[in-house]
Amino acid sequence: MDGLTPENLRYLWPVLALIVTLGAIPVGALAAKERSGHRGLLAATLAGLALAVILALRLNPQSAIRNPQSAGWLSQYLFLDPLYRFVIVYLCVFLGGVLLVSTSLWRKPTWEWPVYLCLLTGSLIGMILLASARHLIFLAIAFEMASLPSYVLVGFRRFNSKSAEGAAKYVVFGAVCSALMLYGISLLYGATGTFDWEQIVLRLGVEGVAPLSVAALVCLFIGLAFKISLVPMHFWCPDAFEAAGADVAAWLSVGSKSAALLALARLAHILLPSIAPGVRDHAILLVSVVAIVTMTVANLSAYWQTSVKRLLAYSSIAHAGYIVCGVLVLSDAGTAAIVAYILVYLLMNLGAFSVTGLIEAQSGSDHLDNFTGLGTRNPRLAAVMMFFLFSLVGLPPLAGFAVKWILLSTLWQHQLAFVVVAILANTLFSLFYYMRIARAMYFSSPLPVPSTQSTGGSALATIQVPGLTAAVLAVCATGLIALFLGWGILNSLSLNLFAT
Amino acid sequence: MDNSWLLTSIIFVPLLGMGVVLVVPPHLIRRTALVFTLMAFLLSLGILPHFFGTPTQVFGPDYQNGFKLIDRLPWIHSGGFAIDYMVGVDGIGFPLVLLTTVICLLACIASWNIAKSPRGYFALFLLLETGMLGVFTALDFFLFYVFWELTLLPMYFLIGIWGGPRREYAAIKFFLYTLLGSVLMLIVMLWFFFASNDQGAHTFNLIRLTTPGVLPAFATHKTMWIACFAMLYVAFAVKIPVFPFHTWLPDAHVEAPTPISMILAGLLLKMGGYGLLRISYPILPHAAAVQAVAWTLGILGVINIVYGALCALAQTDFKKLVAYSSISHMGFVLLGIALLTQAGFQGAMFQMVSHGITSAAMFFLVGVIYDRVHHRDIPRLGGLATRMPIYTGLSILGFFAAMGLPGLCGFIGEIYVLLGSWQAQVLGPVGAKVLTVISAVSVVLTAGYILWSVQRVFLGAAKPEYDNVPDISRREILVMAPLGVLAIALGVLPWQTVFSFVYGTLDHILKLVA
Repeated sequence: MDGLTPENLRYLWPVLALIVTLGAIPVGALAAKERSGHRGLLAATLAGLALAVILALRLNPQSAIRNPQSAGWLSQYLFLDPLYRFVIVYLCVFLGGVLLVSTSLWRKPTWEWPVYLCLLTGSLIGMILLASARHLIFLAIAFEMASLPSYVLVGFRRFNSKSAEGAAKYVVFGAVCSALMLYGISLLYGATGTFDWEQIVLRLGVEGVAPLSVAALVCLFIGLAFKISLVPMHFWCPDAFEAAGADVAAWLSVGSKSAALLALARLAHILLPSIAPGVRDHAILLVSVVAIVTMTVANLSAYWQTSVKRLLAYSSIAHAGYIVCGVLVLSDAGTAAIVAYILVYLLMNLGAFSVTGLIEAQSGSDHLDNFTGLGTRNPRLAAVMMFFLFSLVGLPPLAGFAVKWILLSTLWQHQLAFVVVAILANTLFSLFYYMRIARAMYFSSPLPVPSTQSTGGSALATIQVPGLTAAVLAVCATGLIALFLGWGILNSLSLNLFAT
Repeated sequence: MDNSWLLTSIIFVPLLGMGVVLVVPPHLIRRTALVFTLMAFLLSLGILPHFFGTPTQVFGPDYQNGFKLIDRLPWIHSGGFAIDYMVGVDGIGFPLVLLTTVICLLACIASWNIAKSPRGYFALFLLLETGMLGVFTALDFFLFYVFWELTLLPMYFLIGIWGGPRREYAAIKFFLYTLLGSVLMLIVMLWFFFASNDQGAHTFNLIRLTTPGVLPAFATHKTMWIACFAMLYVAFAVKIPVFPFHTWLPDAHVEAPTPISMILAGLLLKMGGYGLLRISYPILPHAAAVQAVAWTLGILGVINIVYGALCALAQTDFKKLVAYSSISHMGFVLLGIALLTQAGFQGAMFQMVSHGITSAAMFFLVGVIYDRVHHRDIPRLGGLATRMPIYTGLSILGFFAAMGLPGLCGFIGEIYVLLGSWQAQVLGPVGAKVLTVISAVSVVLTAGYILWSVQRVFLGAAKPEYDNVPDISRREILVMAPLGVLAIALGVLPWQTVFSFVYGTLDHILKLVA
């Protein structure tokens, strides 16, 4: 232990910048005037995110790997590798995009805006730490830090009964899963006498693992599987996404899932190669079965949804099922495939949820009927939505295909052909429900009579796209094309994270 | 690398046109689309001079990799992948490229009366043309797959938005069937790539993959190549379409708007036959030579011929009749390829080109009558010959060409396939002859449904409700006349128009199999 020296604190600077931002928001809210504060706070938060990104990019994680002493005590709690830097940049940029979209979906009193910003920034810090934790207590704290603001965010539309229901389910489910995870951690501590993951793995034994430790590992997996929303820990996801605003749903669908996926990938890639082969084979079998069941259940459930947010929630569960297959590959190539996938997943999910949010905000509901005739009402918005949907299916020439291809070829090379077949079969299933949105937008003409009183005539009105959201959508859509044409970048970027 | 950029510009001119169509003022949309399809056509004529002469003159004495006009750029070379943007044409690619640009040009003229959001229509139309041209020229398996999928999206919308009453069902069915095939092709792609060993590296290069020894594991493992052949076969059979994967076709063809039916039948179906000749047979020659495979494909081809003709006989919807006739005619393509004879291969290739012309013509002719009387019910039609003499003349030319009347293009393809299958050795002394006889007899069925429908539609007493139906317009003649000329030209001069270009490449593929 060599205290807080500037040298080792450097690695924490991006996170500290975010913590300062988090503290500055309420102060700024109190100081600012009611009206102008809205934009000012947004700008301040974006500046904080940008600062964190810059600080993260200036890190040199390679030195921390080569010389762990340089990071000092910090490296006992966090993996200070290139992936750490990537997660900071990735999540901060993503949150910036979500915030820009939020501005056009915001329908609440102004005073709630700083609360919203605080909650998002708080969960951001939690997710960054979750994805990089190596000390299990630290992992549990980061897990809660990411979860608690999320519960509130889901229930944020507090006058809406659905919102309350979704948040309540999320909380109860989350509490049980995090309790199980903590229990697993305590059992692991009992068995090995340490919280450090690498030490735990070393002490679990090479010949065989005690049944108690196996149970503990399963509990830990359940906790992360809840965040990733793997079947059967997925039930909260559709309810929570339906309850939350589309911006929050986008944030949770990409942010918390990728953080937990990366955490799982990290832990698994340290644990599995050195554990007893019998246990390893069972673990791989367990994860692959969970992954295949997840994607299949999600794709089959999605078909029946009429709420587009619920539909996209099931789509995100299915994608979690695809991505988690990267964990099965016991080399850095597997994690690299996960990184490439979540990069593109960000673009398509942020885009799809933003369009849904615009429809919901301007026509009263995210019901599939409200997408009817969007192709003629707002051709550009509908066309952009098609980019996101086709990319989610995984069709060329969009980046969703490229990352699926990277994932499949990685799996194929590691003798996991049956997983490849499962993913491809699911791609076929998924076509149906994504195309339901396409059908609504293009093939049906707008309903002659507005269906209900609440939606009124506005359901069929032209959808306005405010400038900032339009910019985000344009970036997402062009990004999907560009990252397809140059998908070598995805490959080299993700593999470079693991180059030594 | 001395890229000529000719093929690249042919492929991407329509895509450029799509970009322009999206921004020009509304009254210029049609003309812009026409200009770009015309440009693609004129550019594609530039391929022709490269293919005059005997194969030795054209390709040089070393006919191993007889591809011309190769454009090659590195695309993805990271993470262990080696994917190139590589296009080129040989004897089977370039007739289909020309066919594509011709049919697209004519379909563009035929699209003139599309009233519902023309901007979207022509944009998707041009995107579709780029996709098809890419399929017929790609020499990298990954690139081939990308273009293959690229044809899917525009077609889905062209059927789904501009189609007939049951368009939604037809569009999703088309999409789903093709995607099923694509998914299987993707598995084969993974398999080929990671099994290939081209001087120590994996490759997607379709020329390298056909080279013996590049797929070492495939040379010894019978199950492996049979599995890959079967998966590829399904991918291509969906497109051709071969029984039992054919059920999307009548729906899609009937619901699609006329110009899109022309493209579907004239070009999209050819992607299946082309895929067999470009990928399945050259890369997996051992599988193609297995007797069981030849039997299966041959029998399926005959089923297509007979079943398609029988279904066509039973139709009262004029367009559905033409759709089923496509299934019947494409059966000859499969039969010709399956039995591994020189004449059969050439006949199959000829049949693809001639069916591209006749099916486009027939769908267009049905569209002309539908535009005027707003139904396609054959029993309600009749006596049109007196009201529309020019139209009737052109129709009879088109239908007789499809029927296989000697002197017109349909005849050559069918007779070559039958000649080839009669000589085939792969099924033993009797088997091939049985299949040939059945197919030859079913030509009578073809004559039956075509003559019968000509009789019911054009002949007989003039019906009063069609008194004021105008004859074929000048624009429509402009579409139909080139198709008629091509039908006659191919029928009279089959060697000069098709065979002289294709036989070298086909013999080379056949040599790989034998």
